[in-house]
Amino acid sequence: VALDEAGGGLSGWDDGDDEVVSDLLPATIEGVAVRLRRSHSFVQLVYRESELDALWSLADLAVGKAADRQAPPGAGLLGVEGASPEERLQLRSLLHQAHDLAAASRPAEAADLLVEAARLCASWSP
Amino acid sequence: MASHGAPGAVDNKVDNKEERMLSVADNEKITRVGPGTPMGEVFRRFWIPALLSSELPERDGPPVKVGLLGEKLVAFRDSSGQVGLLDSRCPHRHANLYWARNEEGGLRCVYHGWKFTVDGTCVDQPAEPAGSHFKDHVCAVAYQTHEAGGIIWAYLGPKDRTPPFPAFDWLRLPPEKYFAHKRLQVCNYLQNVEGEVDTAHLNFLHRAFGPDQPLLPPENLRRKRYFVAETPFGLACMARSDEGGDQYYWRMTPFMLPSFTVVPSGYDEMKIFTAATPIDDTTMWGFTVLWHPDPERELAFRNFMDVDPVTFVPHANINNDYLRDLDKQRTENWTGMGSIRTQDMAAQEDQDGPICRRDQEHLGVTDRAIVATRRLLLKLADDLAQGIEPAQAQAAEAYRCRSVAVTAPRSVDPTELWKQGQPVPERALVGAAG
Repeated sequence: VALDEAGGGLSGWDDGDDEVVSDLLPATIEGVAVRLRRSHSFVQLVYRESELDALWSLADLAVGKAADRQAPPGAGLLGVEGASPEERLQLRSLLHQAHDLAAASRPAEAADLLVEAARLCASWSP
Repeated sequence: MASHGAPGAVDNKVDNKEERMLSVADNEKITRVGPGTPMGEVFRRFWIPALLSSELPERDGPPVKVGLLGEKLVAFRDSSGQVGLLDSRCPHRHANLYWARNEEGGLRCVYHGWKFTVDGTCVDQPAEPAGSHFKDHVCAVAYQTHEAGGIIWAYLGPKDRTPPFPAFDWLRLPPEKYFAHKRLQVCNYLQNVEGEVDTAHLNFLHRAFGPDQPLLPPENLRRKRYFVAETPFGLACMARSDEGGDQYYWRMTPFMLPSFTVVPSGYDEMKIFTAATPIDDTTMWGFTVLWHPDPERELAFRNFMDVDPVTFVPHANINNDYLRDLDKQRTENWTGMGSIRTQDMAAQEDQDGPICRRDQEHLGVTDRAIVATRRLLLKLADDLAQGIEPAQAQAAEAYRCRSVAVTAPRSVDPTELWKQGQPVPERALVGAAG
């Protein structure tokens, strides 16, 4: 894109995938891992970072619920109901590491951690 | 009695506070703008709006206090009409040059009479002994200014890195065809920038409805998809909603570094430029410029927001609950507040204090533009710390850009929609005329 062009034109346009990230089920986490492996540009990595933000947000809320003694019995989020407080923390930690790797333009390593996170979730999923 | 944390609270013994999407350290890096800070240095590579031209209406008129990037400055218009922007402290004993006499080509400190021109040169020290050359070794801290489009712009960076002045679209118009406005906003600049690039809030915060209309907007409007693309000036932040049939509705917001945007509007509609200029870490000037791409057309409105003419504090502000009308909130609009800008300010100024604690947020996939903006700013700050200058500061012509809001067939490439909304390059206009 020419620097002297009015408006500048767009570069790195990516329609992205029609992703929805609203649970912590293994398939959802694996889906982000698959997309991460084919993400390389700034825009693609921003999209993945946004998905990792959503996963981490869900895990962080799950950690909060586990520590909140006033939360209704059985309160939980889709995909983590069966997880202990320690397991929720472990999941959030993996997602955090994956997030920072994606932000550092290391998508393959981030994807590896997501595979590990998905395996962890599978261990307590019904 | 056993103590309980607040709902959602986390036991500090097991919660690692560093495991956050935006760490406390990155939030500090991206929000602090004083001299020597990473983001402060980024801002010091771009021309930024400092004050309105109308604040210095006459030659040799009174100086004006200007806060920029944590620095206390004074602006003045000298006898020849040139604008100076000096450190408010006289280099002698730090008396405030705001009280200075503006006369005969410079500012004369009222304390001991030292006099400075717009470039900071000390031209007189009347108390020095006869024959003294002391003044030749003294200068005031002076920053470059450029007056254009109703605004006095400043460059606070190293002189040998001075970028070309951006070719904003309204600069080609006569003064009666644009309207520049300024307001004081009590929050960090980034809260305003993030609000400008965040199209998701549009159908909620700015929702207006009639007595028979539902509270929530139609699903197709509120459930959008979000995209970003890189541009020479920064980013294009885009949202697409399904209009039914074969149509998409696109909204495209240019995010021009370091902190400028254009509010999405149609190809043939009035444009609104926005700039968040940090006064310091917790307050900012919100500049807006209204213009119409067609020089033959009049502006749809000029009264952007009522502010105090001296302090630029909005009449509706946090101290009076932004004049929220609860009856209006039940029957007319989402917030009960008057203008769109007031609604924005209520959200942005009260995001957990003047500097939002982003380490405690919970973002979702609708926040792509926010993520992209933060990532780009952090990258610029890190690059600059490594000696890599921001290329965007050199892309002056690219800043002559417009926003887009358009309904188009689904098959149309959005990059084409963007292109159609942009002005014809200046050189092409020159060629056509010639």
